[in-house]
Amino acid sequence: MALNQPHDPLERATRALRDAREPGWIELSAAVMSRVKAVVTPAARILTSPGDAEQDGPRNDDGSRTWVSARVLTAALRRTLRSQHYAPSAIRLELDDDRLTAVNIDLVCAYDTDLQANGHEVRSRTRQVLNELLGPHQAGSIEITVADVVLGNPNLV
Amino acid sequence: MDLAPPDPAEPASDQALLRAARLGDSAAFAVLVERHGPAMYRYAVRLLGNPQDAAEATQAAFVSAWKSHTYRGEAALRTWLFRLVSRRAADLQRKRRPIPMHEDLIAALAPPAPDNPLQDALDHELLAALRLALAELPWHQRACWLLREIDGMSYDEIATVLGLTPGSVRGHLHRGRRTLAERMVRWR
Repeated sequence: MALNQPHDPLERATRALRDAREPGWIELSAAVMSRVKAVVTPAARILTSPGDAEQDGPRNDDGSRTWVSARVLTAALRRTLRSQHYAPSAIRLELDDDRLTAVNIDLVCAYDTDLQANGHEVRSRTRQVLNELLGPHQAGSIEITVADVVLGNPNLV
Repeated sequence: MDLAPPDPAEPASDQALLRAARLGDSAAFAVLVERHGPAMYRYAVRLLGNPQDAAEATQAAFVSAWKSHTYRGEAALRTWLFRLVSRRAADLQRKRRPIPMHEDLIAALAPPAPDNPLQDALDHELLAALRLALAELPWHQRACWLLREIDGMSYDEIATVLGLTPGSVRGHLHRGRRTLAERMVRWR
């Protein structure tokens, strides 16, 4: 028996229980992420538009059009709109009849950064993503709200 | 993968990870799973006395956390996650027939660590005795004791996890500790 072990049996057993591990976590963590990734949330579809400003989106000879899932657009914006000065906390897409009419982004910004400059940069990057995924003639507003300010990098704090 | 490889010197906070996860970043959520999951699973195993049920409760809690947008930061994320697993565990407990905890089953849950020279056979039996005594406590006494003694939560945090008042938590802890002390006294 080690000299630093408590004499009280409950205290000793409690310490042992605190240190004891329960087997099976590695397999369980993989199962958790499988179930999480299998969760399917409904996502709206957004009509894309071609470079020649045709109103009804790109059509091939069969008259078909192209849509992009709102989930795809949100993921692209999430990946793009990160810097040491800001991170998105919410991205809301407004649609009217499958057409994107507005993008509303809540930001968490780093303390002592230029909030206006952050907003301009986010707006510019958002427009770039919209152009790449949906085509260059996407109408609608891009509204930025600074929802919170934190000390340090908002992607870490 | 959205997140850059984690820098051990500067891991992202729970808040930053949850913020990204709420926007669909499963890599960020995976970090939260690894950070809090082992303690949640350990708690569920000792609360339910059944690793399969504990795994189900833990999985259900994380799926609920992934889908939910109800967390507003009133309590620490860890507290909220423990609340989710406690609820799932309570649901399972209500639905399933209680399984008696046999001493050899309890002993199998905590085999002696071969690389720990301090843990001899006596410690192993002491631990098994505590597990058996815990399994015989009423649900809330066992839950309060585990959250306080093993997970180091405050009375307020335990109250949030279990949906009790801090006063009730104190009462359950007092009765649970007294019962466990009486059960363990023969080991003096």
